[in-house]
Amino acid sequence: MNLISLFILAFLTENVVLTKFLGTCPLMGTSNKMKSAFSMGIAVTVVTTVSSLISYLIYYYVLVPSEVTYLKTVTFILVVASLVQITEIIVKNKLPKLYKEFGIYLPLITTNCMVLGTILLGISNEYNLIEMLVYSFGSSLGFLLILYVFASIRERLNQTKIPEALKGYPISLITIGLIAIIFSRFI
Amino acid sequence: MVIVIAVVILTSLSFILGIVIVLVTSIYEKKDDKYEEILKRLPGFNCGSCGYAGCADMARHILEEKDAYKKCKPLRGEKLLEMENYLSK
Repeated sequence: MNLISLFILAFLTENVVLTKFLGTCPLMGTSNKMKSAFSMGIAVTVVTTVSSLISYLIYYYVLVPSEVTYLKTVTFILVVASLVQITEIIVKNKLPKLYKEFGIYLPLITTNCMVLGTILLGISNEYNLIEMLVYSFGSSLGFLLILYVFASIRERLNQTKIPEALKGYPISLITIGLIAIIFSRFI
Repeated sequence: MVIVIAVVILTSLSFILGIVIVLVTSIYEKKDDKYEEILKRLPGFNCGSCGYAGCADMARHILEEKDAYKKCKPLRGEKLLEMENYLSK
């Protein structure tokens, strides 16, 4: 029961994008098409979940026993960067079409603060391994949800008449703000 | 002493992750045999008279469009026949 509520918390009520405002760069960058938004979300989900598992193990079995926990940020970034690199190699060779569509945004998962933020929050909340996995999986699925919803809204926006001054990013930012207001009701 | 532990941990961690990346690369990275073969049959002068940025760039374009080899000016005689034979395969 505790795990389910933790999942709901990470997925909806404390959604990383809308309540903590992490990962807004890929949100703006990859939400032009619903398909690429979905695959970007899947890539981020895989990277976040796996890197949270590895980071957890490194933190509690290497950093804590040797009392160098101040190294956690740099180690987590190292883990995330390597995992993104591995994902990139796999996507490049298995799905070259998708690789072209991602462009610069695939290596930029490294600097997606949502990935690092989830891990650091999970560590500072002192979750155990299973809670940590549920939390990071829920957070990244929340990111996927918002990315997908936002991409579908944006596709619709492209076909409507918008005042000249609001075209492009301004209207997108207003849209994110409105979605965030809806989500703020949960708290 | 603490700093030594930190350095050792960070170095060994990077080393392990580096090995993992190399392993994954060697499993998934396809060897571009065709590209290498075309590059071998080009003169290798990097003269740029074809309009591309050297022979490597030329080979990449030949992969996409076969007729691009005709733009290579130093490629003639036996070498040209060799290239035509390879590409018509």
